[in-house]
Amino acid sequence: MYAQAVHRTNIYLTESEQAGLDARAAAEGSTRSDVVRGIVDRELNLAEDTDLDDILGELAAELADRARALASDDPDVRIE
Amino acid sequence: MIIVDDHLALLAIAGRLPDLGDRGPVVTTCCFQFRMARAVSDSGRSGRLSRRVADPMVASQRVLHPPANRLVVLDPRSSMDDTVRVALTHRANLLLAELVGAAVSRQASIRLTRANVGRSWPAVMEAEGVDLAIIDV
Repeated sequence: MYAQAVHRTNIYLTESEQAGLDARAAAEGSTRSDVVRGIVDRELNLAEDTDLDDILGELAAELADRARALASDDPDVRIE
Repeated sequence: MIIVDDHLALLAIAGRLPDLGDRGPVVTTCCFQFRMARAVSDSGRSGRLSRRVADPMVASQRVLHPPANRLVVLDPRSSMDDTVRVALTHRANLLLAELVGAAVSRQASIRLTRANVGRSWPAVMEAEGVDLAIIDV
C-alpha cells in the first residue's frame, strides 16, 4: 500500500540509468519505482512538514514585514 | 505561470496560498526568495520564529529549497536579457527588473500583496504588457 495515491507514468531511460536504478533497488530490497519516487521526492523537496507549514503560514505577514524592513536600506531589493 | 512576491511565496510554501485569480505553476524570483530567506533566517536568530521552531535552520532550508509542487524559484539567467532591458528602460532596481523581466520572457502574470507594490510598479508593468493583480491577505 502507498501513503498517497500513485499514478502510472511512462518514461524513457538509458540502459545505464535503468541498471543504476535496478542496482539501487536490489541493494535496498525495494523496487525500481520506489527508488525513482525517492529520488524525485528529494530532488523536488517534497518531504512534508505540516507543523512547519502551520508556523510559516501563521508568521507569513510578520516575516514579509521583516523582509521589507531588512530591504529598506538595500537599493537592489527594496520596494521603490 | 504566476509570479508572486515574498509574502505570497511564504504562503505558497506553507500550502496556504489564497486564490490568485489565475491558473498555472506558482513561482517567484531570486530577489524575492532572497528577501524571504533573509527574513526567515533573521527571525530564526532573534524573532518569533526562533520561539516557535526547535531548529530554525529547518525553516531556512524550507525557504531555500521549497517544495516544487508548491513553489518554484526561477533561474534569473533565463530572462536576463529582458531584466537588463527593463532596468535600462524604466530605471528599475534589480528587484523590479527581475520581476518584470521574468514575466515578460515567460508571458507570466504577477500577483503581489498590497504592501509590496512600489509606486512606479503598476505603470512599468502596464507599459510592458504584464498582467498585475494585488492580492489582499
